[in-house]
Amino acid sequence: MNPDHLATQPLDDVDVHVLDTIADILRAGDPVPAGLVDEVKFALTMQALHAEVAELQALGVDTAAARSAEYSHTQTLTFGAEALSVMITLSPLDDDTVRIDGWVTGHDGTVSIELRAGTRTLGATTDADGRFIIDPAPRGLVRFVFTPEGEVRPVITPTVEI
Amino acid sequence: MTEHTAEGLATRAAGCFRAYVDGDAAAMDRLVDLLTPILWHTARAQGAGEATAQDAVQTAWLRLVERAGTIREAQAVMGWLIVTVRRECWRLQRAQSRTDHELDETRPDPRPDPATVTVRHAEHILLWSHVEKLDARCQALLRVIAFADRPDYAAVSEALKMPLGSIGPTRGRCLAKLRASLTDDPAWGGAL
Repeated sequence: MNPDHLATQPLDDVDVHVLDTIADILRAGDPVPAGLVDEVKFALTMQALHAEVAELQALGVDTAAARSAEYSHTQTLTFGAEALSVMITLSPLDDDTVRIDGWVTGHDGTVSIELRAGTRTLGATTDADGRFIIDPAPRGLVRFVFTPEGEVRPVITPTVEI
Repeated sequence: MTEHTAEGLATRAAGCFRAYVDGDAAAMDRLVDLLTPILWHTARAQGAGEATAQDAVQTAWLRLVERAGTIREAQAVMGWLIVTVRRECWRLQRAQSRTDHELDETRPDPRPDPATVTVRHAEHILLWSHVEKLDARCQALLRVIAFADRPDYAAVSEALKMPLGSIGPTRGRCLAKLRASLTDDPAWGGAL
């Protein structure tokens, strides 16, 4: 068959079947990563709210071990933003979970906290001293969203491994 | 060609985009659901690794919202996103090739990666072997076209800088090559 001639002909059912099959092959073999759609929607929401991105200022204790997600000691993370600062202490519970003790400073009122871990979201609120606890929290790649009461603009952290 | 609706993916995307611009915030979520698969495969067809492909897709969506006010023709939104993903992949891949010692996972795949595509059924194996014989640009085009609808063929080809050069839903060079290759293979007839 001559491809030049075929190229100018209209698509037929066989072409549609061929393209459908290519799509099936790719859907099975190279699927859209789980969580990508949610991550995009989250990023768009944060953009719409003009979220401030906090900076990871300090990674305490076992930096190297924490990166490998096999740490067994307590470690701390510190995030800084214009609106507030946060210190987070991670205490391993088991292979899959950690306890998170957090302390938000720089904002007088209540702050609501969202922990985004893959497709899961966990919530917490600060007490009168600005402290909060998330226990248990799943290990893995996460990011935090802090929304001070009465404010529209949240503070989000970069993705970190806990 | 996921769904054979008469109106095509670009038209459905245009409907969501218009609703979003008119103030329906949830319409953006519907648009993200609708187009993220074709954008993911656009990035992967450019040879982007997983992390790069995810970044490129996310960046394209953020840009769309930033520039929503400047996009006059809603029908062009799908093409605009495909072009943006393609350019973003290209930019990220160039940046990575300059710092080649970086993390493996952010490195682009060495080629549009049929290697990672697990092919199971006999018909799939046969078809994929013919797809792999095409030049890289044709493979890239077909991998994206496969996620569009029939009326979108010309717009997608244009967005991938491989215009069909004719009006109407013709096969175009890449699909014609694949078709000729399949027709010449006696094994293919039985697979249909």
